[in-house]
Amino acid sequence: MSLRFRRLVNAYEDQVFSLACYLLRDRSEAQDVAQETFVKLWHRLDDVNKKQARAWLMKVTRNACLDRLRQRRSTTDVTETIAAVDPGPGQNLHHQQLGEWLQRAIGNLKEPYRSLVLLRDVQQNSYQDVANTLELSLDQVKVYLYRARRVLRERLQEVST
Amino acid sequence: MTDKSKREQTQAAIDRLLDGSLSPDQAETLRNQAEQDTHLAKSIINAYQIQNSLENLGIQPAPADLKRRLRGIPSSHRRSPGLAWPVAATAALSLVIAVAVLRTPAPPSADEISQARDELALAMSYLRHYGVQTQNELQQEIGGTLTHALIEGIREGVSKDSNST
Repeated sequence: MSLRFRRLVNAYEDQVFSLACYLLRDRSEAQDVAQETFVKLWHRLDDVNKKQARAWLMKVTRNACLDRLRQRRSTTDVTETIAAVDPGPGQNLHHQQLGEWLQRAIGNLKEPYRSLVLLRDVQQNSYQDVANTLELSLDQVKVYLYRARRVLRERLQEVST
Repeated sequence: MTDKSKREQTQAAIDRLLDGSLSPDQAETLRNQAEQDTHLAKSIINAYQIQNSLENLGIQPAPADLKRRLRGIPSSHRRSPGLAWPVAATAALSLVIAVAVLRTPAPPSADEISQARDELALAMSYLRHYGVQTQNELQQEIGGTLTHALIEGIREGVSKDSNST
């Protein structure tokens, strides 16, 4: 049993931590979420089969992050939220600058767009895996992803002109 | 076609271009259009930049400290056994059997059988003793011949009764 758990940890620890990191934008909190997720997996190991494991882990991670973000939002001062509007990377984009700007822009997307971009475009999961994780149909994943990408492009265009 | 729907169509074409789902002919058409339209060209470049940057963000590796903590979970978190359905079903079945056993009279033990035999033997000897005593008393009261006639009369009555039925 412990061997199976260890295999799942080896296979998915980076993906779980990474998703939590992008969603929360806080490495310390992301570590806590990753640990909570794998503790849950350890207790529910009999109920999670090999095929479902990745989608199950991603779903649990995402839900834990969204809970934390909701709690965070309820305690965030309104003036802070207004001040957090991003100035954009400017016209002459360096690759790294664009990456940093994108991370912030993804963080400002609404759900499920944010998770879609992270799971598909950043983590490169298949459309089917993303659909399973977010409990959406394949068509919904494609439509929502299209909208999310458009929002990112439009924002980038707005700030770079 | 309105500006909005034209823009939507262009964005959809760019999306399919990035996904690799645009046919070579359609991709060629889009490229030709982009050569004539700087706005379209800029949109395609923007989309490529974003897509590449998203891919380059990639997966962030878990820190060593977290990896160590995750591997320690089996030893630090005892798994609750939980009542899985086979265990629960077995427990329920055992309970039913126990109730059934308690409700069914238990077969007598060897000691009980032996005691019952002793009691029966005692009762039989008692009956035999009092049976003989009663016969003696009757003989004394009414005489042996009458006793015999009385017993024979009863026998005949019983025999007639059984023949008629």
